[in-house]
Amino acid sequence: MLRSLVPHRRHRLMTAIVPIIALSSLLHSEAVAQDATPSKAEHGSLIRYALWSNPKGTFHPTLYFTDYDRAVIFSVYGRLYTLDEKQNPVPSLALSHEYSADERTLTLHLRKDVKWHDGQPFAAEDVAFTYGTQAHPDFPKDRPAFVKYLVGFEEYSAGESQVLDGIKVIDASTVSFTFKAPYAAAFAHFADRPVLARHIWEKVPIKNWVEAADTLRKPVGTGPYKFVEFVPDQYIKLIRNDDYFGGHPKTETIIFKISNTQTAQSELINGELDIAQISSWNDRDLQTFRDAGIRIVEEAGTSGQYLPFDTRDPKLSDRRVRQAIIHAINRQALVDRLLFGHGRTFNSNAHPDSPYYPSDLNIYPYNPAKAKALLADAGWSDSNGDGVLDKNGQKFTFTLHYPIGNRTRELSAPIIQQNLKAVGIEVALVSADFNTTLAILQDPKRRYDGVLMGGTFRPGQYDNNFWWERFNSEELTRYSEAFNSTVDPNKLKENVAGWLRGINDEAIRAWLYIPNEGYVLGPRVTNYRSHPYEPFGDIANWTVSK
Amino acid sequence: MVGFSILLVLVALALAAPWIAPFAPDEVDLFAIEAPPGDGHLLGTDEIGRDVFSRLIYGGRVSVLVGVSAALVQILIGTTLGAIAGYRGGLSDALVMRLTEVIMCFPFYAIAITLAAIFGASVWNVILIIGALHWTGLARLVRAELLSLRERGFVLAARAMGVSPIKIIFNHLLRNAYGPILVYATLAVANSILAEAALSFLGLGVRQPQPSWGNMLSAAQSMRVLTYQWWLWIPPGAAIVLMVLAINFVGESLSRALSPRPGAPIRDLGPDANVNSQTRKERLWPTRFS
Repeated sequence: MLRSLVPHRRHRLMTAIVPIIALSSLLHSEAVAQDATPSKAEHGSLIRYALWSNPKGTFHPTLYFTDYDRAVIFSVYGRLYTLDEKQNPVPSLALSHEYSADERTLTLHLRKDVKWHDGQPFAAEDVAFTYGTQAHPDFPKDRPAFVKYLVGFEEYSAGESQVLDGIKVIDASTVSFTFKAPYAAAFAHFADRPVLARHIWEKVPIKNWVEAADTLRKPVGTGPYKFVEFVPDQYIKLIRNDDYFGGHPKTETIIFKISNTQTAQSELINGELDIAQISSWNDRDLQTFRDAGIRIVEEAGTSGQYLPFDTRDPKLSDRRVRQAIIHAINRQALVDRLLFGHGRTFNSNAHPDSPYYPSDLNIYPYNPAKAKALLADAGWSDSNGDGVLDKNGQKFTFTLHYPIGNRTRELSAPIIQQNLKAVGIEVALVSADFNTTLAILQDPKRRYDGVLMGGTFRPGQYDNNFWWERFNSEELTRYSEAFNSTVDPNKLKENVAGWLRGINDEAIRAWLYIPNEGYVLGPRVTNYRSHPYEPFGDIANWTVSK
Repeated sequence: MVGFSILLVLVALALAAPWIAPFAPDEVDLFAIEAPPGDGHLLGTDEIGRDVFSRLIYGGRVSVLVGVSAALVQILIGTTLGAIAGYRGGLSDALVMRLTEVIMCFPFYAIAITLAAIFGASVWNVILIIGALHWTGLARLVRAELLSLRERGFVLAARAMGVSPIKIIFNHLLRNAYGPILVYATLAVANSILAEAALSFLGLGVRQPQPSWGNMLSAAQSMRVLTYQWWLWIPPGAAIVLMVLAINFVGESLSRALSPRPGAPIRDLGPDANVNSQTRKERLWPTRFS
C-alpha cells in the first residue's frame, strides 16, 4: 500500500545529476530464460508485465522522468542506437556512423525504410528535431550534457541564434552532430533518448510540451509496439507493430499491468502476471516463487546507493573524517543482511564492472579502530567520557537525512546510525518523502551533514560535477577535461581511472551498495532476454506459451 | 477494575521502558535478523535485528503520548467551542454548530491521510490532526449540557449578581458538566490510540525508526511476515486491542460511577438545590459516547 503511494523515481531526476561512469561490459550479467522444451511454432498472444507504480503518463522520449514511463517509451519508440550486454552501441534506427578527422563531427547514416506508427516516413529531420529541441530556450527540463557539448549551444539556448550550429541535416537519411570537443558519450545519449516524431510535436509549442497531455498520452513511435491505451492505475496496452524495422514482434499484445510488490507474488503464482521485477531478496520470498515453479533471473544491478557528505561542513571538510565514516560503516553487512548477499559494495563514482574502474582503489574495509584513529588524527576525542567525540567543546553530531519509499534504504539508516555511534558519532535520523530529501542536495545554499540517495549508472556518461557534495578539486577537473576531449579509448581509460581514484581518495561520499536486479518469470514465459541497461531491448522477441 | 489494572500495567510498562526493556529500541543486531522468539529475545527480532519486545514497550510510550495529548487537544477545542455555543446561544451557537457539523461530515481517515501527507508524518502532527478532527462530539456534548444548565436558578442568580461570563462558565457550568467530559475524554484516548495506529500502519503517522504500535503492525503488509513471522505483528496488534479495551472498560465504569443516582446530592446548585427528580433525570447522560 505504502509503496504504491510512493513511486520510486530513481531514474531521470537523479541520473541527470549523478556523475557516474560505467563505460561498458557488465560481464555475465545477461538474463536469459528459454524453455528446455523445443520451441513451439505457436506463441501465446499476450504478455503481462508488472509495473510497481502508475506511470506519470509522460510518454515522451526527452521529457520522461520515471522508470514506469520509460518502460512504455522504450517499447513504443525506436532509438538510433541501443546497447548490447557489454554496453557497446548497436545501430538501430542508425545504420552506421563516421567521425571527421578532428573527431568533433559525428555523422550518422539512417535507415530509409522506417515508418512512424501513423504511416508517415521517418527522416533525418526527426532526429535533428529530437536532439535540437533539448537545447531550445523553451525546453521545459534540465538540459542534458549532450547538448551542452554541441557547437552553438550557448547562443541557441539563450535565444540569440535561431539555428543550432551543432546539428545539421545533410539529406533525408543523413544527420551530423558537431561537438566543441570529441564527445564519446554521444552514443549513450542516443541509447537513452529515443527519436520523436517531428510531424506530431512541432504542432505543440515547446514550452507547453509538459502540459500537452493528449499528445503525451498518445505516443507515436517507430518501435516494436504501438500504443493502444493507458488506463491510469490499471494498465497500459500495446499492440504489435507489423512494420517494425527490427523484424516482426513475436507476441501480439503487451500489457503493462500496474501492480504492487505485495500482491505481485500471488498474481504471478496464480498466472495473472507473466513477468515482474524482484522487490525482495529475502530467501523466504524467493522460495515461495521457486515452490510455485516460477523462475528467477538475476542480473548485476545498475543503480547504486550512497551517502554524500557536505564537504563545506566544518566537521566534514577534513578528508580524514570522511574516510573515517566510510571505515565505520559495515557496508558488507548491509549487502549480506539487507540484500541477503544479492548485491555488492563499490568505492567510487562508477560501477565496479566498468572497464575504467581501477582495481587499486582504497576499499575502505569495515574497521572501527581505523575510523577512531583517523578521527583522533583529525582532533576528535571523547574528552568528557560521554561516549561522543568532541573537539573544542563541540560534540560530533551528524544528521542523516533519508527518503522514504525504498525499504532497504530506510532500513539501512538505523544500521548506519548504530555503526557511527560505535566510533563516537551521534547520528540523528530525519526521514521525509523523496522529493523533500532530494531538495536538500539540490539546493546549493543548504547545509547538511549526510543524505542517503541513489542513482542509476549511465554507461558512457560522466560529468565532473560534485555539487551535491559542494566539492571542487582542480586535480579532478584536470582529469575530466582530459577525458572529455577525446574518443581514444586508451586515453579515456587512463584519465577516467585517474579521476575515479581521486574521487575515491577524497571520500566525498560513502559508497554503500549496489543491489542486484532480478526478474521472476511465470510458467508461461518461453523466451525472455534482458540485460541490466536494456530491460526492454529484446521485447520484440519475448514469447509465452499458449 | 480489570480494565483499570490492565491499563495500569500497560502505562507502567511504557513509563518504565528504559528500565524494563532488555535492549534499546533502535539497537540493531545484524546477526540476529528476523529471529523467532527465544534465545535472548523474548518476542524475537525484526528485519534488521531489533528486539521486538523492547520496541513494543517503547512503542507503548508513543501510543500513550498520542492518546493522551490528542484527547487533551480535543478537550481544549471541544469544551471551549461547546461552552461558547451553549452559554452564548444565538448566532455564536449557530456558527459553532454549523462548523461542528461541517467537520463531522468529513470522513476522518480520508481527511487525516490528506493532512498527514501535506504536513508530513510525525508524532506531533498526528496528535494535532487527531485532535483537530475529533473534537466535534465533545463540543456538542458540552453545548447540550450547558444549554440546560444555564437556565437553572443558580446561574440566573450568578448572572444577576454580575458575575462575569467566564467565571460562570468555569465555576458553575463546566464544574457541573465535568462527569460527561471526563468520560468522553477517556474514550477519546482510546479512539486516538486507534487512529494513531491506523495512520502509522499506512506510513503516515509515527515514522520508523521510532517505534509505535501502528508502525510495528505495518510489517504485516508483507505476505511473508503475515504467513511466517507472527512475532512481528501479533504482539503490537494484541497490545493495541488490550489498551483500547482497557480504556473502554475504564470509561464505562467512570460513566456508571459518575451518573447521578436518585437521591444523590447534586453539587453547587446554590439556591436551586431542591431539584425534583424530573430535573435529575434530565441530567443523566448516556453511558456510551462514540
